[in-house]
Amino acid sequence: MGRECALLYDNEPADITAARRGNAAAFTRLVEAYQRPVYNLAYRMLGNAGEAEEAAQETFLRVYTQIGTYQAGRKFSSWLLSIASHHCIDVLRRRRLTWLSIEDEEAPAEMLTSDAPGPEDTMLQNEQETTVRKMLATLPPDYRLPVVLRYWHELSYEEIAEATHSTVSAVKSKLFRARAMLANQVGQFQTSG
Amino acid sequence: MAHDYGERMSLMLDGRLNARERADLTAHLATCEECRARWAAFQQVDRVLASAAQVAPAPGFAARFAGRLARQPARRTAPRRVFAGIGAFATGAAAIALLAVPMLLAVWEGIRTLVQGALLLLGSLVAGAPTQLGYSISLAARWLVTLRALNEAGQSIIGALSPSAGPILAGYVLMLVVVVAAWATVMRAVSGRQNTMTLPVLVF
Repeated sequence: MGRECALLYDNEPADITAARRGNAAAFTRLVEAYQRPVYNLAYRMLGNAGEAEEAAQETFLRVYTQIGTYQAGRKFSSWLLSIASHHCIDVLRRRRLTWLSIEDEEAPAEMLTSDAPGPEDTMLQNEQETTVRKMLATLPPDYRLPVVLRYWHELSYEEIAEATHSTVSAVKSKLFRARAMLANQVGQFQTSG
Repeated sequence: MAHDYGERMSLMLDGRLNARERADLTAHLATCEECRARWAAFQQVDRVLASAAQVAPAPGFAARFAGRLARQPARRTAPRRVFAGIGAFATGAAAIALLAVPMLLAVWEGIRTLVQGALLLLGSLVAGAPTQLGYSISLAARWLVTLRALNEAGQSIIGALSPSAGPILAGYVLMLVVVVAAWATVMRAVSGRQNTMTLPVLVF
C-alpha cells in the first residue's frame, strides 16, 4: 500500500537531540526522513500539490522553532503529524474565507511507487487518485483528518486522538460518520472518477 | 428499516470489535439485506482508501526547506521564546500599570468623594426627622457639609474632563492605547505568530 512512514529511522533520537541543540544538519536529516508522511498528510488534507508543499515546509519550520518543547517520551512522528494536522486545518479555515474548492484543482502530485509503473499502471493509479481526492474533498476537514491519519499513517484511535487533541470516542464517531458519508456516494465516485 | 450497526461496521474495519461483537454483527448481516448492502459499501470505501499510495513531494524538498530556513529571519527557539515572552509580558504589564494607575486613582478619588457625599446626605435624611431647633441646626450643618462634598466631587470629575484637561486626558488615553497595541504586537511576535520584523514597534 506504500504506507510505510519513516518510522524505522535509526538515528532519530540522536538527531532530535542534536537538532534541539541547534544542529542544522541533524534537523535536515529529520526533514529528509519525514518529508513524505508530512507532505502526504498535507496533500490529502488540502488536495493540492502547491498548497501541500507550502504546508509541509511551514510544518517543518514550526517544528524547527518548537523542537525545544518536544517531550522525549512522545513518539516524534505523532508530534510532527500533530503539528502538520493543525496547520492544515488552519489553512483550510483560511481557504474557506477565500471561497476556494479543492474539487476543481490540479492533478495529483508525484506518486510514491516502489517500481517504475508502465503507462497502464500510471493511468489506473491516476484514476484511483482522482477518485480518492474527490472522496476526501466531500468530507468536512474535521472528518477528513482522522481518515487521513488512519488510512495513510496507520495511527491508532488513541494516537489520532492525541494528534488532533481530541478523544478516542470523538475519533471513533468521526471515522464512522466519514465512512457513512463516503459509503453513500462511493459508487458515484467510481463511475464518474 | 435502517439498523444501528453503522458504527460497529466502522469499528469492524479497524479491527476494534471483540469476538462477541464481531459474531453479533455477522449474525445480523446474515439476516438483514439492507445492512449487508451498507456493509458492502463500507468495505468498498475501505478498499478505495486503502489502495491509494502515499504521495511524495517533488524531488529536492529538503534542499528547498534548507534554503527557506536560511532565508528566515532568526527564529528564536522555544525556551528562549518563553523567557522573552515572560520578559515582554512583565515589561508591558508594568508600562500599562504605570500609565493606567494614576488615571484610575484620579477617577477613583472623584468617585470616592461622591460616595462619601451621598452617604452624608443619606445620614442627614435619616437623622433629620426630629423638629427641635438643635437638630434643625445640626441638620442644616450636615446639609452644608454634604453639599460641599458633592461640590468637591463634581469639581474633581469635571476638572478631569474639562476642556483645558481634555488634551491632556486624550494624550494620556492615546498613550495607553499605543502601549497596549505595541505590547500586543510584541507578545504576538514573541509567541512566533508574527514575523519578528514587527518588533521595531518596540522602539516607539
